Amino acid sequence: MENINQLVPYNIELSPDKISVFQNSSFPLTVFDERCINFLNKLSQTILKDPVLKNDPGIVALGFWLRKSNIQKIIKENEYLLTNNSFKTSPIGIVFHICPSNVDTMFLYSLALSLLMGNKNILRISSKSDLSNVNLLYFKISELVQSDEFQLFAYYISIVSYGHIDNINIFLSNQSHARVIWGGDSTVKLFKSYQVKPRIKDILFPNRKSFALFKLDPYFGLSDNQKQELARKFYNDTYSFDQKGCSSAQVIFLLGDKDQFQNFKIEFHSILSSYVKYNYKNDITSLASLKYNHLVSDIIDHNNSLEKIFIPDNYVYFIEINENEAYSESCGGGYFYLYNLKSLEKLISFINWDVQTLSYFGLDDNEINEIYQLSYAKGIDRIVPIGNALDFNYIWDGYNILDELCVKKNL
Amino acid sequence: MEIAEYFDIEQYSLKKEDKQMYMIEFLNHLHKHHLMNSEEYRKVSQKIFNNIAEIKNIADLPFLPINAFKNFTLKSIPEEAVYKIITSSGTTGSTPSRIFLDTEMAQMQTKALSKIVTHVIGKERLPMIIVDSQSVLKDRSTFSARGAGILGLSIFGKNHFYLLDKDFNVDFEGLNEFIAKNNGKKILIFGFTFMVWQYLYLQNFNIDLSQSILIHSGGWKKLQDIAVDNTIFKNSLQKKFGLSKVYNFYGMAEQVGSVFIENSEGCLHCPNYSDIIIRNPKDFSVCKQGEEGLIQVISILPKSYPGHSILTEDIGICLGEDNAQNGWKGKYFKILGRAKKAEIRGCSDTFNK
Repeated sequence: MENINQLVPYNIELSPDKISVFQNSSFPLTVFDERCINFLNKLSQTILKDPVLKNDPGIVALGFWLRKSNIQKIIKENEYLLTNNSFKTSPIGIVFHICPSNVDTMFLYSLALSLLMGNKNILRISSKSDLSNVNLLYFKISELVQSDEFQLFAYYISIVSYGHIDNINIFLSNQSHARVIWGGDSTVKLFKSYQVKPRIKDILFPNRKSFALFKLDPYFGLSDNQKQELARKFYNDTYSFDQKGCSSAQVIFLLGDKDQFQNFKIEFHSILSSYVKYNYKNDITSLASLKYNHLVSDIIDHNNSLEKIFIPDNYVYFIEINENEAYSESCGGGYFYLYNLKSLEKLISFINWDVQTLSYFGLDDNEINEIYQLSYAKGIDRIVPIGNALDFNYIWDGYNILDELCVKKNL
Repeated sequence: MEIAEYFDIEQYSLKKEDKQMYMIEFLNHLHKHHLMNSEEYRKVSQKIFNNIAEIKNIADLPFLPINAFKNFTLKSIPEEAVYKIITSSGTTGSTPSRIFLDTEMAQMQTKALSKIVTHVIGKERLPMIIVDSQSVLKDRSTFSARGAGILGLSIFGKNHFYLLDKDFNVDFEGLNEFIAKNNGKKILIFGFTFMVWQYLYLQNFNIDLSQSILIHSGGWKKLQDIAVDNTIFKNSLQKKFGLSKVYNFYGMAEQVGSVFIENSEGCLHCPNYSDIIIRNPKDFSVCKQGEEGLIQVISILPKSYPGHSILTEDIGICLGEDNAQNGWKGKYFKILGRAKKAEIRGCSDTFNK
């Protein structure tokens, strides 16, 4: 077998069977182990204190999430795993995480949840991830697990990177008890195609798409400042990962009448676009080509489902759709489909099994509950306010990841 | 005016107002023709360009992105009228563009090229050196950009000599023979820019090319990597071979009639048939002279397919109009590079290569 690069606990090229998690067969950590909480808290402090990392919003969000208070809150919410009298919860064993390359902090959420359940972890990081902040993060974790206080964790975490090599994927799969497969349809299909031991537990994250919904009555009640704040939140939800994060909206539903819809379109475009102009770092020339190409393809392929095109500039594309035909996927980078929704029931005709997040503005609790109920057996895994679309939660894509990464033993 | 008459107007002789007047008339004809005959062009005109019926300014013309010729079969003639399909090489691994010509279009393509090139090299057919290997022409069924360039230009020469053998080694014997035969005569040399640098300039031989004319095309990307720009390129050839008549040449398979040859300012010059508009990437508004943007190319010739107005992914800058030192009228511009492939990464690309 070819060698692989182990990045954590220390940087070395070695044979896959020599990575750190295979070097010690005991499992001293229990579920929700105090040592683990302390380790994650220390990592949180390290991140939030680091002069470079503390300027990266995605990494800072991770830092806050790892704090002791938040982890304890999560544990509290999952107390049933320890307090139920009819079963006892144990670690599942070794977990192999195949991490996505776009959302660069995802690997740590995945790792933290699995550690909390007392599991050992192999994380396969895309060799494309050459982002310096993430490399710094690996370095910080390495430092931590090499310290006396947390050396135990060196046997719990192996972060590795290697090319697209099937036998290594298969080997690591066969050494594991569970796989957490991020990275969309193609990765899920690839890993499911391998002949591995049948009992392996897979937690799969295939491609998803997400929507946003603005209720226009409350929107038009906002002050200018509030509208700008809303646009800023929407920008964070969508442009942060070039609108290609699974939770970033591709379609915007506008609940209101026709006039409100037209007014919103013009006003919100202008507010959002000026924010994008000064904050979005991607090269506008390539984005202009990307979006214009996609638009022309959309028009040729899905002409009947496109109504009006609203593109006063290349920062934000608004494409009005009707319900005639399937529209294609957004190309990302700020290319939104718009639909004027007359009622919440109508929303449901757009919902299918692939829909993950509905981020909303202006809905009340009754309306949110109505959507939950209407979406039974159809789709939508989470409904969150605009601005929170990218917030990570241990409940993800319908899984409670903590509950998935353990075994329950009868008493 | 009929297009045949327009062909007889001397190249680079039309001033802005006249050129615009002629072009707008031709372009309106084409616009209507393609609206009628190309469903794709019609859809794009309707949805993005407000269903514009008639243009008053060239900038009003709908434009297709150059990628559309890769993704779609775009033609404005019935299948049975297709006489020739040109495929562009594109970048390695990408889908090539496919351009559909009928016989009329194919003739026009040759004629337009001839009018432009003979303006620079004269009407007489010259002994010709092609800085390439004949093997790039082998597969005639799919023209590569290099093959198409060679074939297109070789009609302006005679006694063609390919400098490279099939293994891309310089054929010194053939070269000596060719030089002996054409000693002191005006010679036409054609090749791709990086081939000329690699296989003519960097080789260990010297010949007198002071009477010769070099036309080269294909872009600067490979030479940029080794820090060779147009000035260095020209100075080097002048110094080594006495070669002073060097013309860069830019064209694209996707647009018949848009053949841009270097003028006295070292810029690419629009011929009578075509025009360029530089568009601001922020909103596709028209850039002022001297402002950088995406290059839109416009030609009055493409009739068999809707390629009369194309937004390229090349970044350029317009540097003047009607005021080149050598007296050529029309706009002239420089190409500064190409829009990068947008770095858009999805959740779904862990294992995409």
